[in-house]
Parts: sequence; C-alpha cells; structure tokens
Amino acid sequence: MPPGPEHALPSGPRHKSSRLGLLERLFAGALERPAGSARKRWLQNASGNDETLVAEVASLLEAHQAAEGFLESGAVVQSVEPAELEPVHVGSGVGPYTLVEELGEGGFGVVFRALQSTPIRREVALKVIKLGMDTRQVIARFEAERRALALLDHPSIARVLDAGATDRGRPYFVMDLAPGQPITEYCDELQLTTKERLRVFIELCSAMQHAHQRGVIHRDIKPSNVLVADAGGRALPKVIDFGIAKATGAEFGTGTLFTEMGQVIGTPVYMSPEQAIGSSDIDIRSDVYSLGVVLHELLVGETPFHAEELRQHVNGGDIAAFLAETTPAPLSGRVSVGDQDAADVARCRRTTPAELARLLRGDLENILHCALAPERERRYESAAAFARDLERLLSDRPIEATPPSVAYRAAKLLRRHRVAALASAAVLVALIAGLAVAFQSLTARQAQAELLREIFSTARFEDLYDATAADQQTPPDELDRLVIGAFGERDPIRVDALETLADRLVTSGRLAEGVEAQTAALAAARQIHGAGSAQATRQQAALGLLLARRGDPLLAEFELGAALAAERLLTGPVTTALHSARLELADLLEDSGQREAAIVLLEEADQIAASVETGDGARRIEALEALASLSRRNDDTAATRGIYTRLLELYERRYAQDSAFLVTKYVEYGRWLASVGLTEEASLPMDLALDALDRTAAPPVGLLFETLSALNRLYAQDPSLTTDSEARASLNREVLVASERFSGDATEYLDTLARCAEDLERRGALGRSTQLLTERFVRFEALTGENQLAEATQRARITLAEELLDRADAIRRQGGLPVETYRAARQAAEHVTPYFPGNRNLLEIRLVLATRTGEFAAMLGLLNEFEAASGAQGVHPLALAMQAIALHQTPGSQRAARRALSQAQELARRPEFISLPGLQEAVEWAAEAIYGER
Amino acid sequence: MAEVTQLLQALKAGDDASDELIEAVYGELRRLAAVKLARERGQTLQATALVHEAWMRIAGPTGDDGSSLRFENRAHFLGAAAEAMRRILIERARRRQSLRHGGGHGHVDLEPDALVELPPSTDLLALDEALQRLTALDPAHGKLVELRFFAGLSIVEAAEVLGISRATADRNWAFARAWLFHELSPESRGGAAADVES
Repeated sequence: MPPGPEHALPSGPRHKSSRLGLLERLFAGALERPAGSARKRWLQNASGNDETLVAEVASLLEAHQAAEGFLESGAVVQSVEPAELEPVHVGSGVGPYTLVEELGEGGFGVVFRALQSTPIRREVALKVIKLGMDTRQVIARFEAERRALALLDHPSIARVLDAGATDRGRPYFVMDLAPGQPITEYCDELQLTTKERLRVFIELCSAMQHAHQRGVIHRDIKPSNVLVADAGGRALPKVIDFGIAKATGAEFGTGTLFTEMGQVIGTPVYMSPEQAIGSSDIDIRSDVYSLGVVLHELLVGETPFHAEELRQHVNGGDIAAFLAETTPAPLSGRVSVGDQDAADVARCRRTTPAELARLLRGDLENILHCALAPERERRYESAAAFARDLERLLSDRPIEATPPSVAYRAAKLLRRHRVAALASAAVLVALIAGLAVAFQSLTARQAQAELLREIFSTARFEDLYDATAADQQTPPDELDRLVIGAFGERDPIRVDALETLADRLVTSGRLAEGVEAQTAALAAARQIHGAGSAQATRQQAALGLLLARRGDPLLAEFELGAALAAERLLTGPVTTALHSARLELADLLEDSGQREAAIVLLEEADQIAASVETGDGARRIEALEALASLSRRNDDTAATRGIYTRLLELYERRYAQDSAFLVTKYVEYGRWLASVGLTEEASLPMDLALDALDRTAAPPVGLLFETLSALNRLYAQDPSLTTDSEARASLNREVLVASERFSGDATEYLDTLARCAEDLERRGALGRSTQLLTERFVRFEALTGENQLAEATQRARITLAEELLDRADAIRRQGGLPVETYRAARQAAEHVTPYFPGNRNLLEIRLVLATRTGEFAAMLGLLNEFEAASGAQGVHPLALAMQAIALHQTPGSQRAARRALSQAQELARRPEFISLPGLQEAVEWAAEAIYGER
Repeated sequence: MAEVTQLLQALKAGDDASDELIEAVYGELRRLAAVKLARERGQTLQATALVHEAWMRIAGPTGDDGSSLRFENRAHFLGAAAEAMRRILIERARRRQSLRHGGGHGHVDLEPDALVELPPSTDLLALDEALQRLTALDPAHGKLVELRFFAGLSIVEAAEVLGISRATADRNWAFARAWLFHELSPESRGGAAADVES
C-alpha cells in the first residue's frame, strides 16, 4: 500500500476509525498551536495539503470554540413544577377567559379576576392551581363532584362554575367573583361586637348547612375562604372554593402537604384532626371543626393552636397524637386583664378585656369545646346544630353543649399514658413477641391476628417506626427483623402485620414508608405462601395501587400487571378481588398511551363484576364509567354507544325512575350523542330525563335547568327535531327555571338569557328574544354598576348596548311585525339611551318604534327630546307629525294641528326623508287622527 | 442493593459490566430517583448526585457480608450506572415527546414525575442519536461522553473508569465534545464531521 494521505484509502469499516484517528490527531495538534496563521500552516502541512480534511478539522475547531460548557455539567433530572413551565399573568388568555387582574395568591394557586369572552362577556374569578398535581385527576375529581356542586344555590355560596386545564396542563377553576374581605378582617375592621360576630357566623353556618344537605363538604374552611361584604347594611358572608379542596387536595396527607414541598401549604390550623392526619374518611363534621376554629378566631383573635406549633408536630410526624391529646387553652383565659394584646382584642370588639372574658366564659367555651372535639362523634353533628346552639345562647336559652365530663377527661388521661408507654419500641416489640408466645396453638391464630391488628391500629406504631428509623440507615430491615423476630419467618401473620403497617403508614400520610412496608408484605407473602399464590398476588396488587398513588406509573404498571397475570394463572380472572387493580392499571395504561389494552382490561373488569355481582352493580358501574370516558376520548362512537347502553341499564336497575343520578346520566348520554352529531338519537335520553323530572312533584331545580338547557341546545343544533312553537315554549321554560335556579344577577342567568335569546330569534320570536336581551343588559348593568369599572367591563357594556341598539334599529325598519316586537325593541332602545347621549339616530329609532306601537304619551316625551337634540322646532317630519297629533288632542288647536300635519306631509316627500322607516305610517296615522274622526 | 453487590463482586478486574448488572443498577437508580423526586417536588436532581448516592448505598462502610467492596468494583458500577442513567433519561425524554405529540385537545398531560433538563436548546434524543454514531466510530469516545454527561462524572473519575490517563481523557473529551456539538448544530447537519462515516 503506497504511503499517502489516509483519506485516499478505499473506504471500509476498518478505515472509518483510522480516518477518525487522523481527524483526532490533527484536531489535537491544531489545538496545541496558537490560533491564526501558524495553526493554519501547521494543519495544511500535517494533512498533506488535503483541503477537505483541513476544512473538516477547521469546522471541528470552530465547534470546539462554540462548545464552551457543552455537556460539561452533567445531566439533571428535574421534577415538574408547572409554575415554572408556564407563567400565567395578567393579560394572558386561559381557555375562553382573559386574565384582568391578580387578586391574590394562596397556597394552592393564584387567583385572577378574569373576563370571559364567550358565550357571554362577564367577569369571573379564575384560580390557577400551581402545585405539581396531576391535572387530569384534579379535573376528574372536580367533574365527579360537579353534579353535587351544581345543586348549591345559596346567597352565601360563591359557586364554582367551571374547571379546565391551561395549555400547559395546569388545572384551573372558575368561580363567581365574590367581593369582600376575609371574615376575620371584616369583623375587626368594623369593630363588630361579640354578638354581632356571632350573627355573621350563624349566616356562615346556614350556607354550610345548605352545602352539607346537598352532600358537599368544603374541606378547607378558613377565614380567607369566607369573604364578607356589606349588602344593604348587613354583613353577607360568601364561602368560596367549594369543591376545590376535594379536587386538588383529597389525596394529600400531612406528609405530602406540609413537608415535601419544603413549606407548609395547607392551612393546618383550620383542619380537623382527621384531615390533618391525612385520613380519607372525611365527613361534614370535619367542616364543623374548621368552623369552630374560625369562630374561635373571631372571638379571641387567634386560633386554638398556633401555626408554628402545629407545623412542628406535622414535621415531627406526631400531629395526630398532638391533636388528640392536647386541649386548647380556654377562651376566657386568652383575654386576661392587663395584657396589652387582650386590650387590643377587646377594643376591636368595643369592650374591655374583663367584660370580654365574662362573655366568653361558660357557654361559649362549651360550645367551642363541642365544635372542636378531636373525636368527631363528640362534635355537633351539623353546621345547623352548631348555629342552633349559638342562637340559643344569643336568646339566653340553655345550650346543648355540655362541659366535658370527668369520665371523659379521665379516659383521655389514660389514653395519653398508654400511648406514651407504647411509644417505646422495646415495649411494643416485647408485646408482639409475648403475643406470639401466648398464641402458640393454631386455633388461636385468628385471635392473634385480630389482637395484633388492634395494636397496630390503636397504638402509635409510627413511634416504633421512628425509633428504629432514627439512625436513617436501615429502617425497613430493622422493622422486618422486629416482625420476623416476633413471629418467625414462616408465620403467616407476618404478611398481615406488614400489610396493616403499610395501611397505617399510608393513612397517616407516610406514603413512601407505606410503600416500603407493602413491598415487605409482598416479599413475606411470596416467601410464606409462594410466589404465585393468591396471597402474594393480592399483596402485589396492593403494592401496585400504592405505587400509582405515589406517582410512580412505571413501577405501578409493572406490579399491577404482574398481579393480574398471576391471578390469571392461578384461577383465571373470576373474582373481583383485584377490581381496583384492574381499574388503576387501565388508568395507567391509558396514561402511557396504551388505550386498547386499557379498554380490554376495563371490559374484563365489567365482565367479571357482571358474573359475580348480584347486588346493585356498583363495580360494574365503576368499570363502565371509566370505559365510557376512555371510549369518548377515543372518539369511538359505536363503542361508546354500546357502553352507555350497558351503563344506563345498570343505572335504571339501580336507581328509581326519577332519581337525580339516573336523570343526570340520561342528560350526559344525550349531550354526548349530540356532541358526535347523533342529534335524533340524543333526543331520546333527553326526553326520558325531562319526562322523569316532570313526573316528580318537586324536581331539583338545578337538574331541571340542566336538562332543559341540554334539550334546548340540542334543538338549536338540529332544528328539525321539533316545531318552532314547541321550541319556543321550551326556551321560555328554560328562562323561567333559570330565574328560579339562579339569583337574578348570577352570571349563569345572564348566560341563559343570551343563549335563549339567540335560539328564540332563530325560532322566529324576535320580540321575546329582544325582551330577554334587554333584561340581560339591565341585569348586567346592575351587576357591574357598583363596582369601579375596569375598562374591559365598560367596553363590554357599551358593546352590549350597541348590539341592542342595532337590533332595535333593525326591528323598526321592518313593517308588519307583531306589536309586542316593536314594544320590546322600544324598551331595548330606551334602556340603552344613557349610553348614547344626544344621538339623533337613537331618538329617531325610539320615535319610530313608539309610532309603531302607537304609544302616544311616549311619543310626546320623545318629541321634546328630539327637538332639543335637533336644535330647531318642526324641521323633522316625524316631529311635525307627532306635534300635529299633540295639537289635535289639545282643545282649540285644531288649525295648528292641521298646519303641522300638512307641513309634515310636505317634508315627508323630500328625498332625505322619503326612506325613513315608519315615517309614512306616522304621517298617515296623524292624518287619520285629525281627519279620520270626522 | 444486595443483587448489585453480588453482581459486582462476581466481576473480575477487566471484565465489562454485564447486562445483568446494568439492569440491576438501572432498577436501583430509578427507584432512588423516584423516591427523591417524590420527596422534593420542584427540585432538580443531579445525575452525579444520584449515581454517587447509589454507590454509597451499595458500598457502604461494609458490604452485606461484612467485606467491603473492592475499589475496582466502583469502576464497574460507574460504568453500568452511566449506561443505566442514559437509558432512564432517554426513556423519560421519549415518553415526554410522545405525550407532547399525542396530547390532543390543546393540552399536554405532563409526565407526573420528572422531566429531563438539558443545556439550553439541546435535544436529548438528538444527542443520543449523535452519541450512537460516535460510539459506532469509536466506542471509547462514546463511553467517555456517557460517563461525563449521563452519569455526571468528573474527567478524573471518567479516566479511572476507562483506565486511561487524565491527559488522554482531556484530549478525547475535547474532541468528542466538538464532534457532537458540530453534529448537533443545525447548519452543519450532514456536514464535514458526518463525512467521516462516508
């Protein structure tokens, strides 16, 4: 092989690397030489004057210059913080909303005043959630609650109107814009007395009772969620954020909520103990507790426990014990005489510390003690009961809450001591070991398991965990060893013990440790019962569910899939034991784009449930609901229809014909059918829904509205489904029901007016349509009238006024319409008049419309305005015609009347007036009035 | 962990990290990353910190059987960890890309756990492809980049793992980096450096 430049060699795999080697040598050599002509000369020589090679090396050298820092810092794995991904700011658009002004920032998100552009321009409050939450889950949870939320209709509740995801996937909520300030600030600013504060609080209780009766728990009652504004000299509280805590926070136990974010995010001071420990079993008594905290703060200016105090216990992991064992200091003791703070607090309530303490002592203390009981069984059973006791107090009747009994205090003391004893890991281990010895016989196994479970659920097992985890080195191993030591490696109770432990840890918000324990339970089940055993399979499924909850989809998918596969091998999929596992796995599969597999799994879940269940079909419904939503997203019309058929069958079997659940499902199905264009088919379930409601004596007005609204939108989508007169009747009914459902100034009501006006116009009811639009304008005006108007709102109002004006103008140009239509148009024009001062065209419109409706009195008034505006008398034929009529009705002016009429007739023939709508009628009318009577 | 330890101990000096070892290390790193990210939402996690912590857990003061792992096991481990990290990060990037494209309805389902952060305007998947091309030309260069970038090792650590001198590592790194950078710069796609393959 002759010597020469290497690139000239025939190419082949071996030579690729030698060519690379040559490039490398030239590159390294060039780098050692100073950049410039010296380097260039060297490169020319070293490459044997190969221009291509020189160019290549030169470009690599250039890249080297530019690559400063490239790949230098190493890869970084970053968790999602959507707030960083998507700055949401004033002026930007979110869905159909434009953010107008930032109202505030809370733990969960930023609240904006926003302007909705379609279908109506209106102002709303929009809250963008900033936590790194799973948007789909948040929205799904909100949707699940939506039905209940729709039933809320109370002057003291700001409704949540809508939820969605921003372009980058952050969840947001849209609410009524509620004016006012937090209840505590409001009371302090107005220096309300204790009794006045109690009155405001009782109002708040009534709103809460309204929600509770409809099955809605707020879960996040705190002063900043209770805004109070003056309403006609009365304090009107408005509770905001209904449904949001559940949608965004239900799954967060204390561990996640407070520590993982590196800051306290929730509001632990207002949380009930069961919420603070992350229990999923929350009922209305949890809200009662939070109400108690708010009342406490209203009365003495501070919460029962301080935030810092709670934070320490949350971080220390003993919040549950702290709340259960600690009795807050009594109210009256918090305003001791001589204390400067107490003096301020008292002054804020227009009283003295001594007087305030006297007011608080006794009944109020007992009432709060009852509301703030750590055991919810001891609390007021409802917000109404709470309010009733306060009413009794205010009217000096005996209250129901009693001071805590001696027995109760003793029991509490005893429990505190027992917990303290059990908190020692050694004691607990000894106890477990002792149990193992005591229960040697097989027959006692069951009892042993029971007892152990009881210890695990009542004793503070986390303390054992903490004790062993103190060194941070080998917590799971140590724990394993403890349980193994107590029961022996092959003792089946180990599986129970670990599963119970996992459950306990998860319930108290220690998800990560719970996963560890569950992993150990799985290992134990495999060791004891065998890898493919039913027990191991169950543990594996449980582990999968926990992993999914922890937000580890890949691992969860693996464990759940393996558990289901094992079940298949074991028994075939014939039991519903792994029902939840199937549903969760389907969810995960869908997330990772495996829709088909998810569908198969859900179908299987439905089939198994169908073959096993004899009861109310709850599991089938669960599976089919998931299937329906998946299938809808899949745009598979045929499949979705089939699923709904099955689902509705179950609903029909499970619920009474007029059940709200069934009706809601009918409407949902109808809406979906309409959304895929099957309008004719859609009318069937909608009719069923409406029939069911009409058969009910007092149908829930919210549901009736939803149903009518869905039906009318369907009619609008496909007008051939019904006759004009039927459609008109239905639309009028929707407006009527909406006026019952919503308060007159509610934005939904305004929406309804706009939509129905549009539909009515299409159905030929121009007059009624105009009437509705006028009403909407007037209400919109009242709604925004008091506020300091944002420019956007002002513009919106003027736009609305212009629309109305155009419509009135259009109507006056048409002859032969029913007189009601002209009347509606005239009223519309009159309502918008203040927006167009001195506008001659508007005056003309009003005059013509008055002519068309034959309202003489109105015409005379307009005539004066018209003349004032045009600056001269009698130059307009319309004005002259009106004048003629007026003179004719005035005794002794008949000649003047006739003169005016003939002037009008003459002017009306002039080209500039000849095409003026309504003029001819007006002149003829005047002529008839003057000469026709003869 | 025990599995990784055993696999490491089974290796002799000079052996390449086995697929089995990479698999085991991959599992450990994933688990570790998931736990860390779940605890520290909003935090970033340096690949280097992750890899080193995993090593600390494996080697510990003493191994499970009381004997400490040999020093050369560390090189094996780091080699396996670099490859595992590369897989983890690429998987995340792929998944994220598919979510982006398949999101529909104008909103993106964010991957719930983590994203990969890259130097500005660097596409991880493109980098991975370029790196594959470089590895085909010279496996040692590919490995070096993997160790430096995906496992976040320093030049000295990477040199140790590869069994080359610091100076060689420096030289190779400069070349590999320039080559990749050139390969990734849009205006010279298919340009001079790519000609090496032809």
